[in-house]
Amino acid sequence: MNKRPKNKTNLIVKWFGIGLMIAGAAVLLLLASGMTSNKAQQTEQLQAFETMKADMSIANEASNSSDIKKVSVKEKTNQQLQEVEGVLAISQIDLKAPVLLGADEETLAKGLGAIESMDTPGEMDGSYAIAGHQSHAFGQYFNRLHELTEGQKFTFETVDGIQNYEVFTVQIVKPEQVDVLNQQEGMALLSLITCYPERSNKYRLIVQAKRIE
Amino acid sequence: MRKNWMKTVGITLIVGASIYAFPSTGQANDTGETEAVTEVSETTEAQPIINIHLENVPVVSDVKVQVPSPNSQNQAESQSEKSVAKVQVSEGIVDNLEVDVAPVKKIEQPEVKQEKKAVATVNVSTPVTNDVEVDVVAKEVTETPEASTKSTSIAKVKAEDLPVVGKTDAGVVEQNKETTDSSKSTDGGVVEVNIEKVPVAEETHVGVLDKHVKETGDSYEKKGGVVQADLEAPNLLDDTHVGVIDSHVKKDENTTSYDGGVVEATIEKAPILDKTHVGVLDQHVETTDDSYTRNGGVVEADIAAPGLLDDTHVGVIDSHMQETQNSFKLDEGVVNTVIKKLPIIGDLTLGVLDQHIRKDDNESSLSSGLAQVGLNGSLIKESTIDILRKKEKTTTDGTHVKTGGVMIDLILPVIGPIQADILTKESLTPIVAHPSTPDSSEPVTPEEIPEEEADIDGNENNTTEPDKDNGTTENDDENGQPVTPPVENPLKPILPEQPNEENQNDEPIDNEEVPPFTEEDSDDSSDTDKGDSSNGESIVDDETSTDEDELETNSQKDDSHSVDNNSSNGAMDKNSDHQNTFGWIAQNPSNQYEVSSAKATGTDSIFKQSANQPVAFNTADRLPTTGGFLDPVLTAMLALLLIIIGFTTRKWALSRNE
Repeated sequence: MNKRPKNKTNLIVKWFGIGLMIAGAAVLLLLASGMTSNKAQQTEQLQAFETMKADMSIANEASNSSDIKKVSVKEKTNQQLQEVEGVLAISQIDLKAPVLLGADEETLAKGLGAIESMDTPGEMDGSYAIAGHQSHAFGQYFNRLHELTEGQKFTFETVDGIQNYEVFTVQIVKPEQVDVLNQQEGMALLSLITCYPERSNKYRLIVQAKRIE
Repeated sequence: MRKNWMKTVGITLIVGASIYAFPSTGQANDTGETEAVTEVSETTEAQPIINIHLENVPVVSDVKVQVPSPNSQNQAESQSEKSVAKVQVSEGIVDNLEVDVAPVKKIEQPEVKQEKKAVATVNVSTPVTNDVEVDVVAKEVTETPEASTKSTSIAKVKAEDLPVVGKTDAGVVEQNKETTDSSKSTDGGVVEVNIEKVPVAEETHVGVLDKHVKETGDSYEKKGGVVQADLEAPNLLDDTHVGVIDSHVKKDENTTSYDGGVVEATIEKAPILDKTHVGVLDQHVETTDDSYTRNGGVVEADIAAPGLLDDTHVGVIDSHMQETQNSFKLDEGVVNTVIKKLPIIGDLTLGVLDQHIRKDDNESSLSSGLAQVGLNGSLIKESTIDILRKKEKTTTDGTHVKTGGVMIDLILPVIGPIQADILTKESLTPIVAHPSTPDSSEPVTPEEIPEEEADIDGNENNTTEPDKDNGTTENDDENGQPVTPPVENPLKPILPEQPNEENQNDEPIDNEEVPPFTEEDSDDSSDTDKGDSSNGESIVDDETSTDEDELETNSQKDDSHSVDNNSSNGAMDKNSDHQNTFGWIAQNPSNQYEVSSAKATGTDSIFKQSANQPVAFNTADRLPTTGGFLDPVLTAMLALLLIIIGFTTRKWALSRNE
């Protein structure tokens, strides 16, 4: 009579243990799946970007052809451009990732996102900003952004070509300090934004670079 | 009442008869050892009718009875004293016992006039009690040029130097009134005891159903309660007050305050404790010219124990409200606890079913929920754990609401900051400003467009450049109807005007500069957006247009801007449910942005407004939220940890079965 409850308890504990193992394995699987999917998505976006570049060059070549043809090529290009703004490559932190348009949660879950309604990237006296997760379950976007220092260089490739930038300031601001993204006279400003410190939304780390080429 | 008087008269008669019969009793027992002697006091003017003096009476020793007592007068001090009967017992079991029946004592001096009357006055002097005076049904009036005092009581005891308690005044159904030129005071109670000195305390007061009122030209104070005890024990309990159904009202020129409660206990200073207050069903209200404060609760405890518990507050169903001209503050909850400077933990706040509201001129915040724990110490800094909580903050930019099942914000010593939100939802409702713009259904000609707004819209990248020739916009649709120009949605970006060098500036944006905006405007905007879903065609129109001005404008920004516009619109279409803007704003798929306005900035803002940009773009007042709790490494570690714990648990369960 006394053994039965003991066995029952042990059975519950045993199945609880099995449940934990299954949950752990599921999380691992989910992680692997998410990472793979994310990587595949990014690769796809990079390929799409290459296609866009090619389409754009075709569109430019077709500028002398008929209006109808020009329009169709441009429409197609524009549809693709809704997806990818460019490709950010920062060798110092082993980052090469496509930049999507939008800095909402959905977009940032996919990758880096450019804040909407700003100037075009690389525009003189203009300001352009790219945001990315500091830590994300399925990707490593701006997790090493804090390693950048003044003077370091990186590139941002758009359909118009590769733009070179040099970091001139790294600062930590409050989330409300949006004026940090204000245009600065005499330079094409590119701001990289992520959260700071690690695993917190308390502040924002802003790496600002100016176009040098 | 009639019975009482009958009793009083009866007792008086019995006492009188006893006194009258006493000499005969003495004589009957006379053994020759005692003799009755009648004396006439040299200081008296009137002889008593009965004057009995017994000496060496067993137990009581000398006994003197005078009916009535001689009218004693002291010319030097202008005193007169007389009574219906006077009994004096001395040198016996008590040192001295004097009983005066219906005594009348008068002092008439040029500056002092005093009259004291009583049904009976008893003066006792014993080795134990020293001098004690008891007045029964007494009335005493004292008048000086400066003050008038009137005291009445059913019984009043005055002890000059009691062995334990020192100077003691006790009154039963006592009332004292004092009137001066500048003040008026009344003290009374069913029982009132004032003790000058007890072994550990000084100036102790105990009152039952007592009331103390003091009124001056510019102040009023009233204290009362069913039971009141005030204790002053230097170095042990300073200014200690305990009251049951206690109330204390105080008014002066600037301040009115009320402190009351079923039980109220305050200690100014004790050996371990500093200012400490415990209240049960208590309430404290203070009103000044520019502030109103109200504290109360079922149980309230404020304890200050330097070095152990600094500024500790524990409240059960308590509420604290403070209101000034510019601010409002409310803290209430079923449990509301604040403990500061705990030895290891530091500052600890704990709230259960609590609510906190703060308001000032510029912003307001609300936090309410099931439970909240806040920690701020050397180990764990500025950390909060919220369970089922709603946080709302309204600034000049709008209202940010965050609700969630669990919100954890920790700063741990080694790991660093950890932020975890479980089942949370955030939204931002920007401030709505109503327009004074012309009817949006009417086309607006360039002449109607305010110059400033036209500038704000940024002509550089504005595809709806007004047609100078025909007064309409360039984006005329195929029907020939003019497209509503961007001024119909004169939204400005929300970023401040400050240059980047001053990017620390968090100044709120002046609301007066906010351009008007309504729901219709928002609809217009979306309409415009819909119209621009054929933006590709617009570009073609631009390029195929014969208008030289248009061509010139488009040639400046055509490629880049057309791409930008289309991509923006695409993003809007794609995220139309999210009304996406920066970070957490987009986390809430809400339509509230459609009726929202934006904040104003200067023309150098980074957000270049154009007619075909969605409204949500202009509502951003925060940088994107890019933080997260989990990263791949941590997630993998957690998964492995789960597997290890599961494996160990299973192993342990199996080993117990064997």
